[in-house]
Amino acid sequence: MFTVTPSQNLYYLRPGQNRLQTVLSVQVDKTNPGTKARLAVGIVLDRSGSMEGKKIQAAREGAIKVLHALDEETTFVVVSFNELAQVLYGPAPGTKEHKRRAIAAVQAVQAGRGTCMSTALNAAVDALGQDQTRASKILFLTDGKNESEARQVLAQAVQRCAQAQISVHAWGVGTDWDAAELRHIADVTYGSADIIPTPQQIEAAFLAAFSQIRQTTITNARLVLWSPVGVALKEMQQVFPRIMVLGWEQDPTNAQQKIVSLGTFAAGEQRDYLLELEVPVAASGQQFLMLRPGTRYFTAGLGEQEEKSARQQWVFAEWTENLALAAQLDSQVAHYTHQEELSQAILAGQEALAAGDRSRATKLLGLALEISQRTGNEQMTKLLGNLVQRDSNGTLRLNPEADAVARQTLAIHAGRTTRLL
Amino acid sequence: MVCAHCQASNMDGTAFCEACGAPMLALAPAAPPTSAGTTNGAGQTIMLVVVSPAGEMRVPFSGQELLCGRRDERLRIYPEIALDDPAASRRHLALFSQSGQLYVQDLESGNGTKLNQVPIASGVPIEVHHNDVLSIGEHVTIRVEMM
Repeated sequence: MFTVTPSQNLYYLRPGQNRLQTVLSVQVDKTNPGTKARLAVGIVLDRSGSMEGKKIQAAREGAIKVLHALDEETTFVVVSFNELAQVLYGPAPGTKEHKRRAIAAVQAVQAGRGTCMSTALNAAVDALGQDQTRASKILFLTDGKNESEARQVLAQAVQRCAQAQISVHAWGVGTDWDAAELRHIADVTYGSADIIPTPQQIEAAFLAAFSQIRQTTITNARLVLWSPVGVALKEMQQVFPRIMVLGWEQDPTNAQQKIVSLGTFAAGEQRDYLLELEVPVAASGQQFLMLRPGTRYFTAGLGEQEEKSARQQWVFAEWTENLALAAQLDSQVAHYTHQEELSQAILAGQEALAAGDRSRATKLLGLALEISQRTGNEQMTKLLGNLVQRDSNGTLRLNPEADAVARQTLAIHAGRTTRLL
Repeated sequence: MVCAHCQASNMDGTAFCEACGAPMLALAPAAPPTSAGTTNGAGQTIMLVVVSPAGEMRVPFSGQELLCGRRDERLRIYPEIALDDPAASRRHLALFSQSGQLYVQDLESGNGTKLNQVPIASGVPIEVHHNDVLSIGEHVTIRVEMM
């Protein structure tokens, strides 16, 4: 079902070198996609005062479209929130009668008061619970910042979603929301975050996401990383399709294995992960096995599964006195290191812009543009091109006509990467 | 089967030692790791003088490879020489010794590295000498002293 491929099987290290970086590509078989997972779907709508008018109307219509698309196998819950969360309907299976009642409840939602996102996420987690046999997803819509509660309170609710293996697909409608807040919700829960510039686009965004969610075939996917005694996993992050720092746990059944949660996968889906290992230095001329990856996951057709890897999927290291050999850089590691630099330059540039430091913002966003062009990240090049431009003398300048949509689109998409072809 | 490298017991048919990762073939016990020690081939002590807006820091080169870059708590990247400069990459360059000589290798950093004001090729080890100066980012220099 899964194929795990390292960017290189063998790394040559200089004498004394004790670090090794590799990229693991994890892909679900396209030709044997397996049975589609049963779903648990939470629809969570902001009903704070700022949603009044076209936004709340479009949110209601978008939610109703998704409710119509649910099948009887799917469990759903609908929650609206301002400073308090209200479970409008559910949890219930997506039968005609339950959907009819839920739609009636959604149609009655009115906007007013402040925004406490944690209340909504906690209510959705309470309703959906934890069920590794289902792909549990929350469609989360807001138009503002989480102003009515401490950031820590939201972080705790997001962590509860992650622990219950519920992914949150978060959208900011308009431009008054906080990109860092939504990206945090998405990153911690293996979800996604995006902008919906106008209320008219809510329905299309909801339906596209729901259509994608329906392709899920694997739930509770985990990478199992075996290494020899003395090898330490120092860092791991997802680097494609977007950059996310990942944590890991010790495998209770094997002291030499780490377990990394990956969330859910759809048929054919591919993600890349950058790992850094600290390795015990050995003498030159001897190869050592350093990493043996495997997977564990759950599918509707087969239940809990474990897949071991073959030798061509393992990572080896050899120390060498040959300087030219040891100097070779892994092209995929280099590529994703640049994508990380790009993401950081964008975020720092946006911070400078928000702080009114236009000179620093120009410099950092210009650097980001240069990296995105050089590494072939066309999406980021286009988004950055909306904010910074070169004048006829070749000098970088902030685009005076850049609007809030351009800034927020770049902010929410920072960290999206391209693969090295 | 006993691993010739670490002497750990392994099940018959094991291809690589389950303790140290070495191939389960007949091989001589490995020699201890080589190290250039604290001196270069001419017996000189190597000192790296890092100058940044935060001040001057003297780092003795022990022979172990040194990573220079921007510290990042979030990504758990802790270079031996941490550079407080936003234009420095997290893994900017490595300093290492080979056959008694000191080398620098730019690790495909975003903004590159200069040696004595001249940009160096990324990914290529370059020998450095007494009084050579590496420039990183906007504000940081590393001067090599061999005494």
